[in-house]
Amino acid sequence: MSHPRHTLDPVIHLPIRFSIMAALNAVERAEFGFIRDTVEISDSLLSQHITTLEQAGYVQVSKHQAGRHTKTWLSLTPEGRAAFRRHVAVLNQIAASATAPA
Amino acid sequence: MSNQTNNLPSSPAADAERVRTHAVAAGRWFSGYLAALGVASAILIVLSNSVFPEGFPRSLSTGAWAVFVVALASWWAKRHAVYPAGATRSLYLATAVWFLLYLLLVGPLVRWQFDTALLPWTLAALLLSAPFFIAAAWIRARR
Repeated sequence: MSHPRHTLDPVIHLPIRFSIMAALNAVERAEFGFIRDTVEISDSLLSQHITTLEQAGYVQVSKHQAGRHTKTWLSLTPEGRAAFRRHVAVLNQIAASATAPA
Repeated sequence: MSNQTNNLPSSPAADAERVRTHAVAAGRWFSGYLAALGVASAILIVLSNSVFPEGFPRSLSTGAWAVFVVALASWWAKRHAVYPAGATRSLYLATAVWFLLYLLLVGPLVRWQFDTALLPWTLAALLLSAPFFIAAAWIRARR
Protein backbone atom coordinates (compact mmCIF):
# COMPACT_ATOMS: atom_id res chain seq x y z
CA MET A 1 0.00 0.00 0.00
CA SER A 2 2.95 2.35 -0.48
CA HIS A 3 2.13 3.55 -4.00
CA PRO A 4 0.80 7.11 -3.90
CA ARG A 5 -2.30 6.15 -5.93
CA HIS A 6 -3.74 4.59 -2.77
CA THR A 7 -3.98 8.07 -1.27
CA LEU A 8 -5.89 9.55 -4.22
CA ASP A 9 -9.29 10.86 -3.19
CA PRO A 10 -11.94 8.69 -4.91
CA VAL A 11 -14.53 11.47 -4.61
CA ILE A 12 -12.40 13.93 -6.58
CA HIS A 13 -10.72 11.50 -8.94
CA LEU A 14 -13.52 11.36 -11.51
CA PRO A 15 -12.50 13.80 -14.32
CA ILE A 16 -15.75 15.81 -14.16
CA ARG A 17 -15.53 16.24 -10.40
CA PHE A 18 -11.85 17.07 -10.70
CA SER A 19 -12.72 19.87 -13.14
CA ILE A 20 -15.54 21.13 -10.91
CA MET A 21 -13.16 21.20 -7.95
CA ALA A 22 -10.45 22.92 -10.03
CA ALA A 23 -12.87 25.65 -11.09
CA LEU A 24 -14.20 26.19 -7.58
CA ASN A 25 -10.73 26.09 -6.05
CA ALA A 26 -9.77 29.12 -8.15
CA VAL A 27 -12.61 31.30 -6.87
CA GLU A 28 -14.43 32.27 -3.69
CA ARG A 29 -17.77 31.20 -5.11
CA ALA A 30 -19.31 30.67 -8.51
CA GLU A 31 -22.84 30.49 -9.82
CA PHE A 32 -24.24 27.06 -10.73
CA GLY A 33 -24.75 28.04 -14.39
CA PHE A 34 -21.19 29.28 -14.73
CA ILE A 35 -19.74 25.96 -13.53
CA ARG A 36 -22.18 24.05 -15.76
CA ASP A 37 -21.09 26.03 -18.85
CA THR A 38 -17.39 26.01 -17.96
CA VAL A 39 -17.21 22.27 -17.29
CA GLU A 40 -19.55 21.69 -20.26
CA ILE A 41 -22.08 19.37 -18.65
CA SER A 42 -25.84 19.36 -18.21
CA ASP A 43 -27.78 20.79 -15.26
CA SER A 44 -28.77 17.35 -14.01
CA LEU A 45 -25.28 15.88 -14.25
CA LEU A 46 -23.79 18.86 -12.41
CA SER A 47 -26.49 18.52 -9.74
CA GLN A 48 -25.57 14.87 -9.23
CA HIS A 49 -21.87 15.61 -8.87
CA ILE A 50 -22.48 18.60 -6.62
CA THR A 51 -24.66 16.42 -4.36
CA THR A 52 -21.82 13.90 -4.09
CA LEU A 53 -19.27 16.61 -3.35
CA GLU A 54 -21.64 18.24 -0.87
CA GLN A 55 -22.18 14.93 0.94
CA ALA A 56 -18.40 14.51 1.15
CA GLY A 57 -18.24 17.93 2.81
CA TYR A 58 -16.21 19.45 -0.04
CA VAL A 59 -18.75 21.83 -1.56
CA GLN A 60 -21.19 24.25 0.00
CA VAL A 61 -24.38 25.19 -1.85
CA SER A 62 -26.24 28.40 -1.05
CA LYS A 63 -29.26 29.97 -2.69
CA HIS A 64 -29.80 33.72 -2.93
CA GLN A 65 -32.71 35.69 -4.26
CA ALA A 66 -31.67 37.97 -7.15
CA GLY A 67 -34.74 39.92 -8.25
CA ARG A 68 -37.34 37.38 -9.35
CA HIS A 69 -34.78 34.63 -9.78
CA THR A 70 -32.96 32.46 -7.30
CA LYS A 71 -29.24 32.10 -7.86
CA THR A 72 -27.45 28.99 -6.68
CA TRP A 73 -23.89 29.65 -5.56
CA LEU A 74 -21.27 26.96 -5.18
CA SER A 75 -18.11 27.21 -3.13
CA LEU A 76 -15.48 24.88 -1.76
CA THR A 77 -15.38 24.28 1.98
CA PRO A 78 -11.97 24.47 3.72
CA GLU A 79 -12.03 20.64 3.76
CA GLY A 80 -12.71 20.66 0.02
CA ARG A 81 -9.78 22.98 -0.68
CA ALA A 82 -7.47 20.86 1.46
CA ALA A 83 -8.67 17.64 -0.20
CA PHE A 84 -8.15 19.13 -3.68
CA ARG A 85 -4.65 20.31 -2.78
CA ARG A 86 -3.79 16.86 -1.42
CA HIS A 87 -5.21 15.13 -4.49
CA VAL A 88 -3.25 17.35 -6.89
CA ALA A 89 -0.07 16.82 -4.88
CA VAL A 90 -0.50 13.04 -5.14
CA LEU A 91 -1.18 13.25 -8.90
CA ASN A 92 1.91 15.40 -9.34
CA GLN A 93 3.91 12.89 -7.29
CA ILE A 94 2.75 10.03 -9.53
CA ALA A 95 3.45 12.06 -12.68
CA ALA A 96 6.91 12.98 -11.43
CA SER A 97 7.81 9.37 -10.65
CA ALA A 98 6.48 8.26 -14.05
CA THR A 99 8.58 10.78 -15.96
CA ALA A 100 11.71 10.43 -13.83
CA PRO A 101 14.68 8.78 -15.63
CA ALA A 102 15.07 5.09 -14.76
CA MET B 1 -2.99 27.83 -5.28
CA SER B 2 -2.46 29.03 -8.82
CA ASN B 3 -0.99 26.78 -11.50
CA GLN B 4 -1.06 23.82 -9.17
CA THR B 5 -2.45 21.55 -11.87
CA ASN B 6 0.20 22.59 -14.40
CA ASN B 7 2.57 19.68 -13.90
CA LEU B 8 -0.05 17.04 -14.52
CA PRO B 9 0.33 15.47 -17.94
CA SER B 10 -3.08 13.97 -18.66
CA SER B 11 -6.13 15.36 -20.42
CA PRO B 12 -8.27 15.76 -17.25
CA ALA B 13 -5.47 17.90 -15.85
CA ALA B 14 -5.42 20.01 -19.00
CA ASP B 15 -9.19 20.44 -18.75
CA ALA B 16 -8.89 21.31 -15.07
CA GLU B 17 -6.31 23.95 -15.92
CA ARG B 18 -8.61 25.33 -18.63
CA VAL B 19 -11.59 25.65 -16.25
CA ARG B 20 -9.36 27.12 -13.55
CA THR B 21 -8.03 29.82 -15.91
CA HIS B 22 -11.56 30.55 -17.13
CA ALA B 23 -12.86 30.86 -13.55
CA VAL B 24 -10.04 33.20 -12.53
CA ALA B 25 -10.66 35.39 -15.60
CA ALA B 26 -14.40 35.54 -14.83
CA GLY B 27 -13.64 36.94 -11.38
CA ARG B 28 -11.58 39.89 -12.62
CA TRP B 29 -14.64 42.18 -12.60
CA PHE B 30 -14.30 42.44 -8.84
CA SER B 31 -11.13 44.52 -9.15
CA GLY B 32 -13.18 47.11 -11.09
CA TYR B 33 -15.75 47.10 -8.31
CA LEU B 34 -13.07 47.71 -5.67
CA ALA B 35 -11.56 50.54 -7.75
CA ALA B 36 -15.01 52.14 -8.18
CA LEU B 37 -15.53 51.84 -4.44
CA GLY B 38 -12.20 53.60 -3.88
CA VAL B 39 -13.18 56.48 -6.16
CA ALA B 40 -16.65 56.78 -4.56
CA SER B 41 -15.12 56.77 -1.08
CA ALA B 42 -12.63 59.48 -2.05
CA ILE B 43 -15.49 61.61 -3.42
CA LEU B 44 -17.43 61.09 -0.18
CA ILE B 45 -14.48 62.22 1.94
CA VAL B 46 -13.99 65.39 -0.15
CA LEU B 47 -17.71 66.21 -0.24
CA SER B 48 -18.42 65.62 3.44
CA ASN B 49 -15.28 67.31 4.79
CA SER B 50 -14.52 70.12 2.37
CA VAL B 51 -17.37 70.92 -0.02
CA PHE B 52 -20.26 70.31 2.43
CA PRO B 53 -18.52 70.17 5.82
CA GLU B 54 -21.70 70.55 7.87
CA GLY B 55 -25.47 70.45 7.93
CA PHE B 56 -27.93 68.68 5.68
CA PRO B 57 -25.77 68.56 2.50
CA ARG B 58 -23.13 66.60 4.46
CA SER B 59 -25.72 64.02 5.53
CA LEU B 60 -27.08 63.98 1.99
CA SER B 61 -23.67 63.24 0.47
CA THR B 62 -23.12 60.42 2.99
CA GLY B 63 -26.56 58.99 2.19
CA ALA B 64 -25.92 59.25 -1.55
CA TRP B 65 -22.61 57.43 -1.10
CA ALA B 66 -24.28 54.62 0.85
CA VAL B 67 -27.00 54.27 -1.80
CA PHE B 68 -24.36 54.28 -4.55
CA VAL B 69 -22.25 51.61 -2.84
CA VAL B 70 -25.21 49.29 -2.21
CA ALA B 71 -26.69 49.86 -5.70
CA LEU B 72 -23.32 49.30 -7.36
CA ALA B 73 -22.77 46.11 -5.37
CA SER B 74 -26.17 44.62 -6.22
CA TRP B 75 -26.16 45.79 -9.87
CA TRP B 76 -22.66 44.52 -10.55
CA ALA B 77 -23.11 41.30 -8.59
CA LYS B 78 -26.28 40.48 -10.54
CA ARG B 79 -24.31 40.57 -13.79
CA HIS B 80 -21.47 38.33 -12.71
CA ALA B 81 -21.37 34.68 -11.84
CA VAL B 82 -18.02 34.46 -10.10
CA TYR B 83 -16.49 36.02 -7.01
CA PRO B 84 -12.72 35.72 -7.14
CA ALA B 85 -10.73 34.07 -4.36
CA GLY B 86 -10.31 36.48 -1.46
CA ALA B 87 -13.09 38.83 -2.67
CA THR B 88 -14.97 39.17 0.62
CA ARG B 89 -11.82 39.32 2.72
CA SER B 90 -10.20 42.01 0.53
CA LEU B 91 -13.41 44.08 0.52
CA TYR B 92 -13.82 43.95 4.31
CA LEU B 93 -10.14 44.59 4.93
CA ALA B 94 -9.96 47.58 2.56
CA THR B 95 -13.17 49.06 4.04
CA ALA B 96 -11.94 48.59 7.62
CA VAL B 97 -8.53 50.17 6.90
CA TRP B 98 -10.18 53.08 5.03
CA PHE B 99 -12.68 53.73 7.82
CA LEU B 100 -10.23 53.38 10.71
CA LEU B 101 -7.59 55.55 9.03
CA TYR B 102 -10.21 58.24 8.41
CA LEU B 103 -11.65 58.01 11.91
CA LEU B 104 -8.47 57.79 13.96
CA LEU B 105 -5.59 59.28 11.99
CA VAL B 106 -5.99 61.05 8.66
CA GLY B 107 -9.39 62.64 9.38
CA PRO B 108 -8.46 64.34 12.70
CA LEU B 109 -5.00 65.29 11.39
CA VAL B 110 -6.20 66.98 8.20
CA ARG B 111 -9.08 68.70 10.02
CA TRP B 112 -6.70 70.01 12.66
CA GLN B 113 -4.06 71.26 10.20
CA PHE B 114 -6.15 72.37 7.21
CA ASP B 115 -9.74 72.66 8.43
CA THR B 116 -11.91 72.35 5.28
CA ALA B 117 -9.35 73.23 2.60
CA LEU B 118 -10.12 71.41 -0.65
CA LEU B 119 -6.63 70.38 -1.81
CA PRO B 120 -5.48 68.72 1.44
CA TRP B 121 -8.77 66.84 1.71
CA THR B 122 -8.53 65.70 -1.91
CA LEU B 123 -5.01 64.36 -1.32
CA ALA B 124 -6.06 62.78 1.97
CA ALA B 125 -9.10 61.18 0.31
CA LEU B 126 -6.90 59.65 -2.40
CA LEU B 127 -4.50 58.37 0.25
CA LEU B 128 -7.38 56.93 2.26
CA SER B 129 -8.69 55.10 -0.82
CA ALA B 130 -5.34 53.40 -1.37
CA PRO B 131 -6.49 50.16 0.35
CA PHE B 132 -9.26 49.80 -2.26
CA PHE B 133 -6.83 50.37 -5.13
CA ILE B 134 -4.27 47.99 -3.63
CA ALA B 135 -6.96 45.32 -3.14
CA ALA B 136 -8.13 45.88 -6.74
CA ALA B 137 -4.58 45.44 -8.05
CA TRP B 138 -4.12 42.31 -5.91
CA ILE B 139 -7.31 40.71 -7.25
CA ARG B 140 -6.35 41.63 -10.83
CA ALA B 141 -2.84 40.24 -10.47
CA ARG B 142 -4.01 36.80 -9.30
CA ARG B 143 -3.50 34.03 -11.80
